[in-house]
Amino acid sequence: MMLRFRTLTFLLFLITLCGFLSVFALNAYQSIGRILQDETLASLSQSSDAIQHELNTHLRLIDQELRNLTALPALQQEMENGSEAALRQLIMEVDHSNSMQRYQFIILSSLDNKQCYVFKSRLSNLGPEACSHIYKNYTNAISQEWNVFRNGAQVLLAKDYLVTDSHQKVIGRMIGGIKLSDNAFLLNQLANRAVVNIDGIRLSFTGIEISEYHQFPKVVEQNYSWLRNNVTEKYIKSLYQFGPDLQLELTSSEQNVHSLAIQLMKLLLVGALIGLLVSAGVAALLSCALDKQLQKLMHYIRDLVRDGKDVGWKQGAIQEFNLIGKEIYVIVDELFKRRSELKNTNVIIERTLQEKRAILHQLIKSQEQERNHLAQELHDELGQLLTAVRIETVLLEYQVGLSSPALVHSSKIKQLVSDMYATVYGRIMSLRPVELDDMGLCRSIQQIPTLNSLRQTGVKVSLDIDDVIMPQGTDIHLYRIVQEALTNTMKHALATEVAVSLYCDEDQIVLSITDNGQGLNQSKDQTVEQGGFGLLGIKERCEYMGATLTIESENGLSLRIILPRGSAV
Amino acid sequence: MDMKPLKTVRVSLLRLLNSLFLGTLFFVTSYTWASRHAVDDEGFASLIDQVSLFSPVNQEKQVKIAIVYPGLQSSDYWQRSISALKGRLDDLGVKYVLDIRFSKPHIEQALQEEQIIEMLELAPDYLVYTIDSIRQQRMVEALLQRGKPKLIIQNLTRPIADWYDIQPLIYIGFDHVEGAQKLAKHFMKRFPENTQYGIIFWGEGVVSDQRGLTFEREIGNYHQLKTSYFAVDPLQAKRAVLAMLNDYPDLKYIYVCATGAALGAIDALQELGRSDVDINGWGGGQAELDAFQKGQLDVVLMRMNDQNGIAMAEAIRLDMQGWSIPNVYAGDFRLLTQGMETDIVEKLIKEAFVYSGDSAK
Repeated sequence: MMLRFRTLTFLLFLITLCGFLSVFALNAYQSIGRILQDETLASLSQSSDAIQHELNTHLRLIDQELRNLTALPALQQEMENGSEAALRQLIMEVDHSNSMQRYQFIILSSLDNKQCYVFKSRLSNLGPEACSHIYKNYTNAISQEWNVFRNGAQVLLAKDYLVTDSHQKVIGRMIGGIKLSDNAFLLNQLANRAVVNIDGIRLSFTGIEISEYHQFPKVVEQNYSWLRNNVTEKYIKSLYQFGPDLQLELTSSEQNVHSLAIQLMKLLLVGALIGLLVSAGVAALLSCALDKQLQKLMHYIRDLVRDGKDVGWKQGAIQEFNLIGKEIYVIVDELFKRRSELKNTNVIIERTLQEKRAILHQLIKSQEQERNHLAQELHDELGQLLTAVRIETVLLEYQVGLSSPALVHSSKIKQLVSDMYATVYGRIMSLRPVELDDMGLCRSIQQIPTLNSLRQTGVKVSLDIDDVIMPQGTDIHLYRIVQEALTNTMKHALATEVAVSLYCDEDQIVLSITDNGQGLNQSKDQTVEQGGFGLLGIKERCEYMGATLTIESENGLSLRIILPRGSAV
Repeated sequence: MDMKPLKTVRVSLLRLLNSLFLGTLFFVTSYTWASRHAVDDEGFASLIDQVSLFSPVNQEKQVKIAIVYPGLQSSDYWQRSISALKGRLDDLGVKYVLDIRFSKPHIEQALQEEQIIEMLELAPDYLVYTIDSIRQQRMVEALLQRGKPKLIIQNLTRPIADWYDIQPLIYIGFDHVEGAQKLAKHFMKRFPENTQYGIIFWGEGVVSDQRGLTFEREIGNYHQLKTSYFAVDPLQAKRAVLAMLNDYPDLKYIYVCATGAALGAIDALQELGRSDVDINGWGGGQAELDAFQKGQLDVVLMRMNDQNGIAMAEAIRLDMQGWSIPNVYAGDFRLLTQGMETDIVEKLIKEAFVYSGDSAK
């Protein structure tokens, strides 16, 4: 499958970025539960602090109202008078000093406890309403500024103040405060003023629940099984400033935890999606940018190679590609220079080869002419002389007696002359086979002396020679080729069979010399040793004639020379 | 040919078609709401104008409704509310027991507490009460803590923010701020810039603040506020107006925050023999309307009075049927001025007292 570089880089970028995103998302998903729990507890802790702060603020306002009340001269006066109705009128029915009447009850008691009054709304249930009873319960619990105490089934939070007369003499004690038990209204106000996000508040005293408030309606159970173990957390805070027994318990909002979880998941998914899209965009941009530069580079190289000149690299935004463009120009320019030099060198070599070939051809031609001339000389002069010597020897024998010992010598002379003649004839034949001129190439090949030598050494010789009319001047070269090939066979081939064939068709003359010897060894030294120079001569002659030479060296050596009929040298 | 009967028939027909259309509209929309089991503000307001086509309430026993009213005052607003409540409950076919206690506002709060306790002993399902002071607010808070009876706060249309999640069933009334703004616009239109005026507040409380201070803020520097007094009954109001006109005889109008103050102001003007000072009525009760028709009041801000009682009845009925209802309902105002055509005035009055009209006469 072939892919564009752009596609490949895009996919690689995308896969890499998706991998990172997946790892991140998986890690985040696994962390959500722990994060939710930690965040919920932290949130509840902060909420409890805020609610406690609001409670303290509420109590400070009540404290201020109660202080203002104790400072009222009318209150002091009515206490001295001991008029409960007047005190009730003063405390409950008149909007004095712009008081918001945040307190829910007030107890006024004289110093000797003989007079004790409870002032509260009749709509409020404070438990047993006997003043002395409440007073006693409060004094039993008193240990700090604000004191929590139980009054029957109800739990109250109160603070006491001294009431003085106009001479600053203490005449009584005032206790004022609020009800903590069954006071969801107070918890509602504290929770909402503190702007906390919780499910509910529970107030307990000595481990017993005294008031409970749920900020929101109970959430219908939803299928968030993946969060089921983390949905609800509780946080308990002891309100030590009111004694060791008062505790505030906050429960997280199941809905809020779910909401937070869903928000986290949404955030995660949206983040991952955006990341994916951005990654895809970045990957596309990067791959496109790289691909564009590569395409530009490819076009530049193509133009450079085609036109062979500087088509100019347009500077891009990526420095590396600019450097590559420059380097490529330098390399291509150098290649063009080298190619030009190589062409020149080739022309020179070709010319030299032509000259060498011309010289070689001239040498071959001269050599043949010289051999021909030498053979002719030997035949004409030395042959005549040897014949003359033989004749003279015969004449001499006629002159001496039959019993003359000279006859032995003359006989030896005749033998020597015959040997000399044979030797000269052999030399003449090797220089220039006379049969070639008289009987043609066919008979001349059959008369090659090496054939007899091969036969004598046990090599089976097969000749298949047609009577072919050779182009002018080519017969001697074919003869020499057969002669050289057979010489090589005898010297190096270690063959047991050798075959020579010569035939022709309409267009060409085919000469083939084949043996079953060891063939050519690829070693250069051996090639030379095994007749490399002979083969070289054969090649030169073929080239000289315009023939094609095919050499095969499998299961022996095979030379095949094809000479066009129209060739002539 | 007398065209009047034809006209009457046509108007009646149009009203019938209108009622049918609104009823159908409400039926369709209420069917949708039923799936949510909640009635929104618009849906609730649409119930006020006609008897609902809802299925009648299935009751095993009579619903107990307790009312503690500061109704012993000059305005007949409270009595008319009760008439409207009864009338609409009857129209709806709701079986009910109504127990009513009256007291004077502000000064009889201990009595009101006593009355509430008496009522609670009867275990009512709904308690109608009002808030005009801190003491009353604390009493309502104590009731809210109990959870039962369900509370309907009348004559207050701004929920008390400090109660947060624990709120009464519904606040029903007329928005004092809106009324004060209407009157302020009227006086600004009627009198030129820098006109001198005075204000008589009615008691010290939320209502007086919303009616009086809103008016003052709306007028701003356009007119000159020369003097203002608090009063809790017509006599105090009369004395206040006498003092105001004695100190500032050039006052062109006196803005009064309640019917009692208006009646006291009328007495004062009659005593002084002055008719050049404009006095307003606030609420449009029978006493104000009588004075308006006599020309003693120059302008009356009339509440579409019976809307309150109707809203209470509808709220109770919907709550009994398990519907979630809006937390606040504020009725409409109409401004009656001298110079308006009598027919229009009568028509508006008739609309305002659709249930209580006859009984009040």
